[in-house]
Amino acid sequence: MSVITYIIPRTFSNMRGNWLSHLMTALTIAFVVLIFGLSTLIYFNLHRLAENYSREIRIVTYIDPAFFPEDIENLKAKVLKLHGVANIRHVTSQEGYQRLVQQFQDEKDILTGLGEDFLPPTLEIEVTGTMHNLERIRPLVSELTSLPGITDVYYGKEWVERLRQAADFTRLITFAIGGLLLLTTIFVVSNTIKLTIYLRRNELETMRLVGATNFFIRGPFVLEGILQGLMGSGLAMLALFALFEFLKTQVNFPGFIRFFSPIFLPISVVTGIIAGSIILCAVVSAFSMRQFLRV
Amino acid sequence: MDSPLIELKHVYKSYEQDLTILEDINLRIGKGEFVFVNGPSGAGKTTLLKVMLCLERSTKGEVWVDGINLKRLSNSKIPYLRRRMGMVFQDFKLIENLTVFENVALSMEVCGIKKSAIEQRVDQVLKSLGLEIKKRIYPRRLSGGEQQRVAVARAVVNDPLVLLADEPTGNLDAGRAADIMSLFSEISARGTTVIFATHNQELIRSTAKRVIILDQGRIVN
Repeated sequence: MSVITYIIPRTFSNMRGNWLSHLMTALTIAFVVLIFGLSTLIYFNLHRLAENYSREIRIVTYIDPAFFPEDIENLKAKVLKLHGVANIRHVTSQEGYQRLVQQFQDEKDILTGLGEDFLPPTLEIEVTGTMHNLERIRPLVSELTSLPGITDVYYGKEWVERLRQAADFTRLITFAIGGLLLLTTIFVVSNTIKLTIYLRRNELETMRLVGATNFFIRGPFVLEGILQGLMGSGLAMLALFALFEFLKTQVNFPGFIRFFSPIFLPISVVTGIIAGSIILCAVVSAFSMRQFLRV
Repeated sequence: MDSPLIELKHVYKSYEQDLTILEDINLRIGKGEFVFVNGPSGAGKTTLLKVMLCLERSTKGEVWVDGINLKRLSNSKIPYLRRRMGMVFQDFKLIENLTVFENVALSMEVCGIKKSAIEQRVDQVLKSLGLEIKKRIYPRRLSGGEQQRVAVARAVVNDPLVLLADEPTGNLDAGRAADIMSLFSEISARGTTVIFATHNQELIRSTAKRVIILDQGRIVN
């Protein structure tokens, strides 16, 4: 009963009376949650990109040019027997050259003076679904490297690893910002509550004298914390979404990620961030009251 | 006196080893009784009232209020005890940003009483104290006597068993003090126990009530 008749109206009247302090608190929370959300968004998309790229891994093995066609057939048979190999395609030096010609149609001069057999023959290996993972593909690569006639193996390791490292680094940054969010919220919310307590100390003392329970005294403060968390994090998520939509149309992704389409944080993550901020603010508010709530 | 409403048995209150505020207090106050607690400043009058309202815990001894041993009362139960007791202070302790009506209603709101019942009861109490026309006014626009009457209204609105008053006339001139005194007498006549702490000898002499005299934390009469 008192929640509806007293705590809710009291909370709004307190917030109106001290609106500037509450607005500054909500904006500070919004700023920190925005940075946290941005970092989470970057990590989320880098992780997706790394996953996508891993899924498209193909292995290209370079064959000793001195190998005879029948040796290549033998090699193909050996490779096909290896675990994780789904399909295999032999690309001759001439085929490789023709691909280059097609790729450099506008800059044919680059290829001037190079013979049609300047590229080594290759085997293009498609791996099975379970191998779309850098850790699983490594044993296959080392087996291929040890086969006689294979001079080199390429599987885009550098790019996948760089993406993974970038994703891991962003995750680290996200955790650090999460920590910053925690500390800032604790500091800002507890100071706002303490300031409000100081301004209303006579009122709170009177409430204790007339028999108000701790729940009754604490209620409006905890509700203020909840509303601050909701407003701050809600505002941050709206700003993040607007920023994301703006950047999506402005940024041209380079080369290999040209076809990657970044997506916004899933609704579960957005809800989690908002819920986390609300809980954090409510807990900080409740704890800030503790020292006041003596008998 | 068969069963006193308030009973103190060998009560001591000290903050440090050598700072004793109350010393071996033994007291029995019956239902509906009007008792003055008199003594000079620093005699322990306020501390005695605080111990009764459980704003302070006694260091030694037992304090009983309406059959409840306050020593055994848990912190979570204290608000429920206070709802059965009213307290009036020298500095009124009114909330500046609440109107007269809201200040009085606060005592009922903390009990979770329905809004309609609060409105009815607060109006009734304000009317009986001549404050009906001031109900929408903020305390700073009232005279000292009016503010004290609002404080009394807040203390009695829940029909308390006992009304504790700590120098309620301390900030008032003689005429206003007499008004407040007669208000407490009326409340007592309706069956509420009144414990009235004051150092004002004149006020005590003007009535024929029981007086407990405190000096340096001890009862001396």
